[in-house]
Amino acid sequence: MSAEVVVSDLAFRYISRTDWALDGVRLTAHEGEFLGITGPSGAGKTTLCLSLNGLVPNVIEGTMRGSVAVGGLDTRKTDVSRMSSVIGVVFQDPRSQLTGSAMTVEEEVAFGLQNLGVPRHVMIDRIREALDAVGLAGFEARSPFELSGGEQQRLSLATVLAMHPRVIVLDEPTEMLDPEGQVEVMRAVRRIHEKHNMTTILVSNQAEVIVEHANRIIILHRGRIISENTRQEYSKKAKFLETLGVRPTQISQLASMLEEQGLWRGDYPINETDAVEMIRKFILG
Amino acid sequence: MSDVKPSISIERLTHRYPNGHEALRAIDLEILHEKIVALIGKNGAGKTTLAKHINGLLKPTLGSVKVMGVDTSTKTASEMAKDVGYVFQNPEDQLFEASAHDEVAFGPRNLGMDREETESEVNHALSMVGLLPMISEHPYNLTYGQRKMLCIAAVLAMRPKILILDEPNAGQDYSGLQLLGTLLRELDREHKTILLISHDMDFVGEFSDETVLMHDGEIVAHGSTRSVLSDLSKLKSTAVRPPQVTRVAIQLSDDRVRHDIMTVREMVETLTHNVSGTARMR
Repeated sequence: MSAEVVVSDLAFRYISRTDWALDGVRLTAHEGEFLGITGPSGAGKTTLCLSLNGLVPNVIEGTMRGSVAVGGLDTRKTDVSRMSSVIGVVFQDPRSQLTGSAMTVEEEVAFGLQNLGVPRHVMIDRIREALDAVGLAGFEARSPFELSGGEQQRLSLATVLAMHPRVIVLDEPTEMLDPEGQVEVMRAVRRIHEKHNMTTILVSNQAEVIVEHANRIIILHRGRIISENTRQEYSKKAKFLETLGVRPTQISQLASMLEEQGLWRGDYPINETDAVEMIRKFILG
Repeated sequence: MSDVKPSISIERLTHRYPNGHEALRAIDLEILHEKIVALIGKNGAGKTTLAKHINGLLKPTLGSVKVMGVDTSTKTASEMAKDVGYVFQNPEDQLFEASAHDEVAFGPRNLGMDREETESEVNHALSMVGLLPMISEHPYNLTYGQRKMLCIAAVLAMRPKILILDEPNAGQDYSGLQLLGTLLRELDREHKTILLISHDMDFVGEFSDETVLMHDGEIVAHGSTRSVLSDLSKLKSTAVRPPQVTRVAIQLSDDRVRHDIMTVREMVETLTHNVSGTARMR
């Protein structure tokens, strides 16, 4: 597996601040991997996302040390627009990502492609393909502002996909959505990840979402990566997560409390089916 | 003894927006004093429209809304502000002063409280939301979660009897959520009636007494949070999922586990009780 994203000793300080938002991050994401990142508020999660596509430090100024390379391109030596054809980022607030000038869903997706100078016939194919992938086929003529939060978020995902990136970064993509929106966005993310073997980096504090989707989960704290885990290991860290201010899944909290009472042994459950089976075996059986 | 008169009494409320969209259809709802009531359902179900009738920002197209016994159609929104505090979903819609202190002092000053009284309200409200150390900070130096807490403090300082919180937990990390939970319990002790709009079912399950489930401008369920969040048949059409621990409990309900467990702690108690019960039987 080749490394798609290589972050080496990355540190960043915003121009108006005295403290370092990122303080020595070392991280590799491999081709086709689904990587999860969690951490409390202020840990540096969004700053990390912004450095992956080069917005930090090329647009958002500050002091940067170390380096970031995506698909072999060094973010400091590459235009932000060129980077957008390698890596796409979807942020938390669906409305703030709309161009505001596009009158239709189709124009919204076309916007980034036009900036790259993609020929018209290629553009039409890319738009159709991207809207299909996020389940918005048939929405071409609708106004982006009329869409629900979940639909707007899938539209953001489509604008990113249309650029044919090698890596997709999702910065708390479902945190502001209702339950239905959360399900439809993650379903689209999953489908794209599987169909295109897309390298996917998901930042989230929604414990169930991250444990369900990410194969490797990194904990960011005060600008540093303090722990790297498989799903199994992450679930087992329920107590540790609580002390950091990160919400664990309820079933891992349950296992941890039962373990304290001598009623649980070994691994913690990672999904409901596991939890039901283990409770039957350890306690009710 | 707590008062059990209705705090909010809504009869046959219909609301039609100027574009003709009927956001609420013949809603009946009674909310008693000193309860924490969650309002859940997907976006567009009518939660915020309903809440805006309670503070008088919107007036009924048909039907009536009474707050503390008074019909809201006879009062302006600013008259209502004394009784009903509304904390908006997006802090940027609410914050406009240059420091946390001034932000919170704005309401009490406007209500005509004197300097001493205002300062005491500011200190009390900021300490309740854990922001007293940030009293002189500019709101934009606070994290998103802290700005949301600041909005709550600004509303609390006006001493409303009813507090509406529109998605206070969105954007909060775990520490923020715990702080918010503690705050709700504290407000409960201060005899406030609280209406909590939320998509976070773990939080609703842990901190609310009652839940109102809305769908398509109507109330499809209203009862104890325990009864609403464990009723899969009612939740199904609204895409709301019960808390994870409740979903596990429902699957274990054939195995001597009650199906309406709402928190991890309750599940631990049930299971440990179950073990000791079994041991006794043996």
